[in-house]
Amino acid sequence: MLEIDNVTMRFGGLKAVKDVSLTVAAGDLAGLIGPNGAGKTTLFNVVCGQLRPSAGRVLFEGRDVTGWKPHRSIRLGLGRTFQITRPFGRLSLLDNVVIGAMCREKSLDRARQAALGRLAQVGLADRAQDTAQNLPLGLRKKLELARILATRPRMLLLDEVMGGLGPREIEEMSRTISQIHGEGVSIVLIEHVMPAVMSLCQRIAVINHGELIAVGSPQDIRADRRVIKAYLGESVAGDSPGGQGSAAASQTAAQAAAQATTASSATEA
Amino acid sequence: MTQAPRSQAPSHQAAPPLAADARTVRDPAAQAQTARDPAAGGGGGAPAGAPDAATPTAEGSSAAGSNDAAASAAAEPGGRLSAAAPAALGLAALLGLPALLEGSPFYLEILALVFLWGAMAGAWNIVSGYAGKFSLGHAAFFGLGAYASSILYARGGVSPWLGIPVGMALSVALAAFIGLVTLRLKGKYMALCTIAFVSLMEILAVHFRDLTGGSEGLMVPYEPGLANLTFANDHEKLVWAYVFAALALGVFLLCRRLERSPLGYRLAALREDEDAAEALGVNTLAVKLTSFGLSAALTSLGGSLYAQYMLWIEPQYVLSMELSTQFALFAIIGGVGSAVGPFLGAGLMFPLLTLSRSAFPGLPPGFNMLVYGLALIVAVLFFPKGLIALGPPLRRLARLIGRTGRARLGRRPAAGETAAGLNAAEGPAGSSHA
Repeated sequence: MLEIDNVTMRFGGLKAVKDVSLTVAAGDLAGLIGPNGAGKTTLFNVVCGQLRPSAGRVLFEGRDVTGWKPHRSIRLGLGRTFQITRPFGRLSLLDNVVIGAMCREKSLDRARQAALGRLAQVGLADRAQDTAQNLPLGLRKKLELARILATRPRMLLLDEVMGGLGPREIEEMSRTISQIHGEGVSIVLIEHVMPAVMSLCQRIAVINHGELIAVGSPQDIRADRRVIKAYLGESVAGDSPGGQGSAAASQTAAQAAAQATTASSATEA
Repeated sequence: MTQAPRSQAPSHQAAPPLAADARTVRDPAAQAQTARDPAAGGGGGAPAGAPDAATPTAEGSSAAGSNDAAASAAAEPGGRLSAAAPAALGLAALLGLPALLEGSPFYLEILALVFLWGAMAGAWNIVSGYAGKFSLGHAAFFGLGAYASSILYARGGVSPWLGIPVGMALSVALAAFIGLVTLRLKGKYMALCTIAFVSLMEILAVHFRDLTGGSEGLMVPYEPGLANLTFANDHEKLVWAYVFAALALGVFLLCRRLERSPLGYRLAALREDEDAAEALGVNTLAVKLTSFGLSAALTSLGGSLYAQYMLWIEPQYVLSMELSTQFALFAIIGGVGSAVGPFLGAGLMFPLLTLSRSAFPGLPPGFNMLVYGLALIVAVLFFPKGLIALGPPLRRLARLIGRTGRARLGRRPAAGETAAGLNAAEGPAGSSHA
C-alpha cells in the first residue's frame, strides 16, 4: 500500500534520512521506532509531503506521490498526525474536526455531523464546544486523532500520539488505535511507549541515525543486537557492559528503549 | 430588508469559525437551549445580521457615542423585540442618517467616507483578518482600481461602469502575482514585501505621465449622468453617501456569509495553523489566493468609486503607504477577523482624524495628528483585541439596565438606533472573546 523507495533527506550537510526503503501492506499496523533524532518524523514528513526528499520515491497504492502537497495526498487517503499537537487554537473542538471532515463532505452540515461522530469516537463528544487551546495534552492528542480520522484516511501515520500521556490514557489510546485499525485503516505509528508498540504492532521498523537498522516482528526486534546498541550504546550491546549498563544489558532492547526515552516522551508535556 | 431576518437563522446554526469563537457552534441540543434562553453564551443573545453594517452609521454620527445610553437601549432588542428589530433599526439608520445630514455637507462627507473606509478595511480584513495574512499592500489595488477606471474614462471615453470590472479584473491578476510572491512568507515578512508593491505602483503611476497624468494627478471628466457614474452638484454628496453605504453593506454581508461558508472555515484553519490545515486537506495556496483575490477585487471597486467621487486622483494618495496602513489600522482598531470590526474602527477613527483637524484651528499644524496618535495609543492599550471586545461587557451592562430602565427607552429613538448597531456588534464580539 505504501512503498518508501530509497528515500534520502538531506538538510545541508546533514543526512536526516539515509536511503531508507520500507513497504507497508494494506491492513498493516506497523511501528516505527528509534532513538530521538533518528529521523522518524523526517521520514513521515517526506511521506506526507511536508518535505520533498533529496532522493528516492514514495508510492501510495502504486501511485508516485513523491513531493505531493499534503492536501493532495490526504485526498488519496494518506493522513498523519503531528508529534507536537497543532490544534486550531481559537476554534472549538468541533470546528477543528469539521475542517478535517470538509475534506470529504461538501456541505457544512454533513461535515458537522461527521465531525461529531469522530469526536464521539475518541471520547471528546461532551467537549465539542470547548476552545481547543485550553485542552490538556492528553485530550489534544485525541483531538488530533479525531481531526485526521474525519478526513477518512485509508492509511494513517501517527506521530507519538501517546507521548506525554499517563498510563490510563495510553491504554485508552491503544484501544482507540486498535479500533481504527479494525475499521480497515492501515497504520504506521512512531512511538516511544514500548509496551504499547510491542502489543499493538505486528511489524516494527527501527531507524537510527537516519538508517533503517531492523525490520521484523516485535519478538525479533526485542532480540536484535543492533537495536539494543542503538538505544543503549556499544558497551551495553557488547560483552562487557559498563556503568549503569550492567543491569540494562540483561533487559530486552524494548524495555531499555522504554526507559531511555521516558524523558523524551515527557518533554512535550 | 427582507433578507435580514432570514440571515438570522443560520447565524445560530452555522458556526462562524472566523470570529474565532468556539461557542457559537452548537449542536442541535445546545441550539434549542440557546433559543429558549437568549442570554446564554456567545452568539445566543445578540441576533446579528444586516444591521451590523449600520454600526458605522451610528459611530459616525456620534463618534464615541454614549455607552450608557447605547447599552441601555441595546437591552431592548436583546430582551424583548424579535430578532428583526435590530435589523430594521440598523437599516433605518443606514438609510436615514445620510438624509439627516444632508444639510451639513461636511458631516455628510465624513459619513460617506466612513462607509467607504469601513468597506475597504472590511475588504482588507478578508485576507489579513480572517486568513491572517497581513498585507500592507492594499493601496496597490485601491490605486489600480482608481486608475484603471479613470484612465479608461478620461483617455478612452469608456464608462466607469465598464472601467470598474476592468479594474477589478486587473487587481485580481495583480493579487495573484503579488500573492504567489508574498503569501508564502509569514507574518511581518509578508507585510514588508507587500509594501514594495505599493511603492512600485506609485513609481509606475508617476512615470507613465501620458497615461496617468504623473504626479500632478489625473482629472476625471465631469459629465453628470448615471451612465458616467457622476452626479450633478446639488445632491452629489447624498447620492455618494448612499453608494458607499451600499458598498459597506455589501462588504459586510459578504463577510458574514463568508464566516459561515466552507471557505470561511478554511480561512480560519489557515490563520490558526497553516501546516495543520494543509495536512487536513486544505489547499492552502488556493485558499490564500482566493481570499487575496476577493479582497483585492473589493478594494479595487472602492478605488474606482473613490475616483468617481473625487473626480481627481493622485498617486501620492491612492497609491500611498498611508492608505495601506489606514485600511489595516481601521480594521485593527475595530477588531480583526470579525465582520463588524472594520466598520467600528473606521467609524471611530476616521471622524476623529478629520474632526481633530478642524477642531483646533488656532493650534499649530500637526496637533490633530497628536490627538489621533493618542487615540491610537489608547485603543491599542485598552482594547488590544479591538473595539469588538467591548461587546460582552456592554451586553452584560445592557441586560442589567434593561431590567430596570426600560421606561427610558421609548423616549430616545435616536439612542435606540445607535444601540441597534452596537448591540448587533456584540454578535461577533461575543464570539471572539467569550
